[in-house]
Amino acid sequence: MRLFPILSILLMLLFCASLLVGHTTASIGDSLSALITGDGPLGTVMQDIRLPRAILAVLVGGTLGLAGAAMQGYLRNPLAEPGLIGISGAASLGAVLSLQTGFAGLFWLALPLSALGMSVLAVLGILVLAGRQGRSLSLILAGIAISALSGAMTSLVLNLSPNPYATAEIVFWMMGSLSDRSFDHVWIALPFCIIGGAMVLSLGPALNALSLGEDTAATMGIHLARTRLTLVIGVAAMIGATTAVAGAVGFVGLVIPHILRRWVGARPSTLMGASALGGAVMILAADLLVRLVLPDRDLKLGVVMAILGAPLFLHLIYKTRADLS
Amino acid sequence: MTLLSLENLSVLRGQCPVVDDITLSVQAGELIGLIGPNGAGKTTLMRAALGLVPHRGQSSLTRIPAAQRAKQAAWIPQMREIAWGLSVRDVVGLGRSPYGPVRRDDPKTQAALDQLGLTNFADRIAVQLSGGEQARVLIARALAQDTPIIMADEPTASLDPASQLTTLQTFAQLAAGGHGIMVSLHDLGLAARYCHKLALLHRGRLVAFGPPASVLTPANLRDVFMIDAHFEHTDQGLIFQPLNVIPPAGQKGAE
Repeated sequence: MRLFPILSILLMLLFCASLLVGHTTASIGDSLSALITGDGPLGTVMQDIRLPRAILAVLVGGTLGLAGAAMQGYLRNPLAEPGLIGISGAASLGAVLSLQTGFAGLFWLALPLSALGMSVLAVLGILVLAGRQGRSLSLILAGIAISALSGAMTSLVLNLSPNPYATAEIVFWMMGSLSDRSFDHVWIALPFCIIGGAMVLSLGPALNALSLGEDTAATMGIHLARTRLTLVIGVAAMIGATTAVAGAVGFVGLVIPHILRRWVGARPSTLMGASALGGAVMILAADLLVRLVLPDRDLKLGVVMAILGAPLFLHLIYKTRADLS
Repeated sequence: MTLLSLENLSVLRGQCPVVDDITLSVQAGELIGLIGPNGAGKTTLMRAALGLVPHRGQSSLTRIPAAQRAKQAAWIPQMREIAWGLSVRDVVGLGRSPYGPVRRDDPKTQAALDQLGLTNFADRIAVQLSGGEQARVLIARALAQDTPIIMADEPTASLDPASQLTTLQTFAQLAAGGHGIMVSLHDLGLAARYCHKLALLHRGRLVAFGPPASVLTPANLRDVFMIDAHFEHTDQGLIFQPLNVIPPAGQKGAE
């Protein structure tokens, strides 16, 4: 349990580092006073560029980690991740459609709203497909169907794209990034993340009980259908909102619960809080890397996460295989 | 005192009844064995009684809200499902879920660990224990739920003989302590020896219900299980040993 204070301190340090690292170089004292006063160009950089970027990194990472731990707990499967129910794919499709049609250029809210709108449609689709019984298998199947449909539609949009510039813009957006985001993006995502996060965190006791299977959980007073509905809406709110403002960022929801399970224990209720902190730490660190490694090449956050996450995941698979043999 | 009553309980799969119009009751202090061939409806009957599958007729448990039901009946499914590397104490402690936030030092959890002889295992990872030990962990989990009724589906499946005996002895002790217990069993020898009453199911119907000697009759064994068997009343209880499979009438004629 000492991991919580360690993760919290790491989160604060990386948050401060995120505020201090960038193209504009200034002393720590000048940067912090500019952050508070907002005076001059440095004040604008601190308040309008770096602060929302750091807050978004915490939001995106925290919600991905939390949603990943919740999905793994609900499905009792360490390979589950937030994208499994198809919301990130649907949100991406919404964004891609708005870029392709030019709707994204009409006003700044157009792209995130399109992504959120498509997420809502995906949730409705999943709930209809999954049926009224509260079983997890039907949810996985519905999620795979929605994911496949969103992927196919996104490919179709790219395929029919009339010019390479539009295609490049779409592909870059899909890589996921936190650059050039403002407080407007924070205000769009924040309410969804808070409400979705609270919904998912409220499921702690139900997810713990589900560790012994759905039948046993039901006989311990867990309402399976209500649990699944709360999970789907909570995860969709968080993932839809963060995908809308930052694009699809993979691996955090898969890897972070995996890493932390051996430190904080396997109970989903404990793991969810730790994974939220761990996810925020991971995205803050990855976003710092994006700015430090190739500052002039606009390295995308999603690409860095995949490069970091895939080997980490391979290592975990190797270790798990060794433990099982 | 009647703890559970089932009245005209039926479960349909499509148009086909897999549990057909069953009426029986479980009293405090009784260990009831559900016996019958594969597909007789034993598991479905218990799951319907607990409200886990839609059914017709009445179960006294499904008349009360799910939150209250969780304080009346605990369920031990056949598949020993324990996800993650939860410790024995964590698994047993989950039995306290119906009573609010689970505390690691809950006295009922400790009492259940003590009663099943698991105190020395409490910090071990449950899935790393043997099948027999895991079965005890899950019985302790049900015990921690502190319910008058405990139902278990094939609790002796895939256990060695010592673990099978220990499991049935545990249920007999719990019944002696005032619980009403219903277990489905394939081992008719264990059922004959430890259960106070047996409910014999065949194709979803209750064929016989009563003390083992009145249910395990040569006629019932022939008609339902297609076996004949050796019986012996001893001071250890009714000893039962299946002897031969009786071929269906058509095959007998062909021979």
